Amino acid sequence: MCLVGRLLFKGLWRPYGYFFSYAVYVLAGTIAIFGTIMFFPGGYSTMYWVIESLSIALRFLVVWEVYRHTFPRGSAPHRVLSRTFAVVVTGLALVALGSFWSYATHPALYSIHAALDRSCGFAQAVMILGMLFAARYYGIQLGRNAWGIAVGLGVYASIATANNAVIDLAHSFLPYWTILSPLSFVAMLAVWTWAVWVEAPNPQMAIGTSPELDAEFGRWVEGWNRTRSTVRRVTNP
Amino acid sequence: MIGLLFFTILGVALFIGFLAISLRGASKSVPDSSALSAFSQIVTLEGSSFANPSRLLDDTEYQIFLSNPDLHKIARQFRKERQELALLWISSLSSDLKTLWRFRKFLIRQGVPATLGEEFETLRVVVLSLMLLSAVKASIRICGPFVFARVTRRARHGVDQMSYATAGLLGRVPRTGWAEIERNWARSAA
Repeated sequence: MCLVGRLLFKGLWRPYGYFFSYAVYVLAGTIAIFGTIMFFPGGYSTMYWVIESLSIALRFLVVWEVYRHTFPRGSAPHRVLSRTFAVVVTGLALVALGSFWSYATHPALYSIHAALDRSCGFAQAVMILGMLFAARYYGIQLGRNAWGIAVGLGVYASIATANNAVIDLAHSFLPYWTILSPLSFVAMLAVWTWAVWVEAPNPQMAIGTSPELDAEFGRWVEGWNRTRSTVRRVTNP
Repeated sequence: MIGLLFFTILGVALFIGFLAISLRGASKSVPDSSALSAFSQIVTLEGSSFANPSRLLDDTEYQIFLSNPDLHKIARQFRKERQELALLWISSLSSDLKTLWRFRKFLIRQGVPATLGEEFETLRVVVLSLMLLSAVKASIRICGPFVFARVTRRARHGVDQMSYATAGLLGRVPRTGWAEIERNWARSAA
């Protein structure tokens, strides 16, 4: 509630629309779960797992939010990385899908939610870490908002990956999981609240190219092509 | 089972990675380019403007000389010259650091706002960087310029950090006040 309130109060819900949608979903889900406990206690577990499973998928919106703020459309890093990012996302989606599918082949492992959480959590954590490394490599400054959102989600997703794998490895871990899982989620919400407490967006990046620069680049490419054909003519007379 | 172990290990590894990133904190904001250029006009830094320290600390040529017994004398001479140059560079970096610290104190005397936390951070950077530079200097004297080349290259990091922080401090002054600061700084340095 504090996170949603802060996003609304600071007007950050506009630039961080996807993130705000996820925060609203978490809030609405929590209210719905409490409502179910109060009025339909029999449907609690079904409601809980449906909301949780949807939440896992919606976390990809937060990943996308970090990406679009770190590498804004039209910026040079976006042009360089967008294809790579698409390939990595496809690869990770296949890994996540494959590992989730393989859950069905092990009758001893029965938690479908754990399988979904660890597969998607792994993909999300790798995407976030990759983005942070790429940002560091290109010297892109991250503001407190994007940095906090990214690190908060990354820490939570990595804990979820390990946690959900361990409970299927050893069911005796379940009591710890029931503590670790909500605690890490609350920690993520606390980090996010800290991140959006003040408005600190990423510093502006140069977007697009000027027509003069395009013309200059065109002339350079023309000259370079002429040089290559001359060299080819000289080497292969 | 293997898949689960894979996820457990990778999950822990990712967690450690994110923990390390969070401990480093968000990257400090770079001051705007006009403040940086004004700063470089006001303060002259000799050591950090040295363009290619990697070349200075590269031992490839020394190893080539050393591989030929006839060139051992030249190798010794080469090493000695590089040692002197490296010591000169480290001394310039120390002097840059002191100049930056003096300039920062001067800016605060001129009324530029700074928090106590920033001042403690500056003090920490100055003390640690001076200690590192002294240690690097001693290592160059004792072991030569090529042994701890990587640490020596990193010695300028503190000066860069300090110069960014000081340029950021200058950026808090309205642009119209930069000329006066330049004049006062030149007068105080004279």
